Amino acid sequence: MTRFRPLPVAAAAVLLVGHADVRHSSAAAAEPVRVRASAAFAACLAPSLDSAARAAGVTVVLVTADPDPPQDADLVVGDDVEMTRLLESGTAEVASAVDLGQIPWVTVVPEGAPRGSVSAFATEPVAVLSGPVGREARASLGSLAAGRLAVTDDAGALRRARYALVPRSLAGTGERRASDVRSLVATAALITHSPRRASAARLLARLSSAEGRRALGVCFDPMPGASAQAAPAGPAAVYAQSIVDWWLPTCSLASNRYVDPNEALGPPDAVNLGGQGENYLGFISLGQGGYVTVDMGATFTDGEGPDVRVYQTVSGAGEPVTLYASSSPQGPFTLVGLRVPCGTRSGGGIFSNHCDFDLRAGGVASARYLKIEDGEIFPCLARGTVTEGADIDAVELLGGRN
Amino acid sequence: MPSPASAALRLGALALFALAAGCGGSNPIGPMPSPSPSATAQPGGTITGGYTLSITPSASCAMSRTPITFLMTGADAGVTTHPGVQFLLVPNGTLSRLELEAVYESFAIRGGLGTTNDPSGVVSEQGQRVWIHAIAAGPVLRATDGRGEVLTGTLAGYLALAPANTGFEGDLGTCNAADHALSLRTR
Repeated sequence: MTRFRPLPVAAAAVLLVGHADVRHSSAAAAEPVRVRASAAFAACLAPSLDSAARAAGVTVVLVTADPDPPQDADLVVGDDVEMTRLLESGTAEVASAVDLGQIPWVTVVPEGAPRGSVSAFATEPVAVLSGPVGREARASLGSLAAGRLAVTDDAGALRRARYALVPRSLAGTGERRASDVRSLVATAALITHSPRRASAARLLARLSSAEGRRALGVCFDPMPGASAQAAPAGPAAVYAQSIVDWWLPTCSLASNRYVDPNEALGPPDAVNLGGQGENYLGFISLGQGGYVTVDMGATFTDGEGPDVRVYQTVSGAGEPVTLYASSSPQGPFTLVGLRVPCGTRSGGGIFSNHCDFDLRAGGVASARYLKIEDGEIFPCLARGTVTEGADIDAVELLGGRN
Repeated sequence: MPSPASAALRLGALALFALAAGCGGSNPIGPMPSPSPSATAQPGGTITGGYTLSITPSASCAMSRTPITFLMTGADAGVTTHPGVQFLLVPNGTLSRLELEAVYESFAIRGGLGTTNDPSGVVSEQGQRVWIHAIAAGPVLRATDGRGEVLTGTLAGYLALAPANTGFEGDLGTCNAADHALSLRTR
């Protein structure tokens, strides 16, 4: 019989008790709100939860564990890769999702260690966080042989490690150096059918209030402002003009709800209609490995920085996207970016997140046709959502066309 | 100067392009685990029945390059905008833990091969636990029994390994590459 290391369920539980001045009208309301957060975020939340709970008049139990599955949690906090399936399955409420802040990854080395990649000089195994949330970090250490990696979910072990690549909240002593690994985004959302929903909502409201964010700011970095994130819009903006080709597997076509490729044309316009279930408009869910190929209307050339922005929905979900480019609708298509996480918050009132691509990364000088392919690649038959795969809202040229 | 990741991306793109152009018998990256098709092998064939899926991690990955194999069942998956095929891990059930959904046309397949996010991954014939999120592609050749098979395919994307009985995803390596080798041989 195969035996697995137990999941990091309830690795730590902290009971934070709010004050008793607020009287609750029902027994259920007096029950503690169960907050479930992955290790990187729990370390940041614990100190702030106390004051937020007091202000909200609730008691709180914080469980350090992967938020998916949520078990008996009322409120979950996780990064995009942890939240995607919770939000898209309706287990957690998209409408309640709030970004609390972000945590950058840092490389921890002994003081005075050489510059450059830790892979090159580490004299001991490099500790790195386990689970889906650590995938990018582990892949970034891909040149390290397996024996030189120490993958763990043990916060203490990560903090004790002399060499580590960890979210800043799990960094121990030693010199901290900036890492290129994408920052974790702490998204909090209510569990849809929580019996303590009202209490959990009050707590979330406090956490996301100005005062709550100030308290969290000790550990979380603020989300980038909308002005810094939004693409230049206006008359010059160029979006996908027409569909050249598309494909979804039969399985995905049968089970996904949003399968009109024309929804990927024009400016980003995806919306959450609210209500029970997943009620959206304005995007195509690509299913398992599906794709849509668009005509941008004219040839465009590689410019300085990113050239193409793909808008991918929904908030709090960052399914990866693969992009190919060609000067002909029949191809051949050249790979520009492979499984790029597509969860950068767009701001400016745009519901979708986005990811950017630089033609130069694929050695492409110019193109007109873009093929956008699902990079999540989750087994269709094991789906738990009607929005399986990357959800493409729009494709935009960031430079200009010739 | 391009980063190693960027260089690997370009090499992978070249490999994909070579396959798309019908040059699947050779590989510009390095040695392939699968033999080249014989001179008499014809393109095409029906995807049906038992297959052995074999994956050899890219040479750029710091993990064992011993082929990772799974027993799969292949079948026609009907036509949407393109004809498709489906490969499921054996034994399959309602929930597949390893699934390939691919377009099959012009004597080639191309589509997504994925596992769930289950912490237990999927166990290979070699006893390792494996996690995959990648695009499989390759030319289809007619095997001696008339069925189609892929001898020289590529796999572009995420691959992580762990021991069978303990440990975490990635304990035996994690690698994003565009040029893992893949084959789907009839059995």
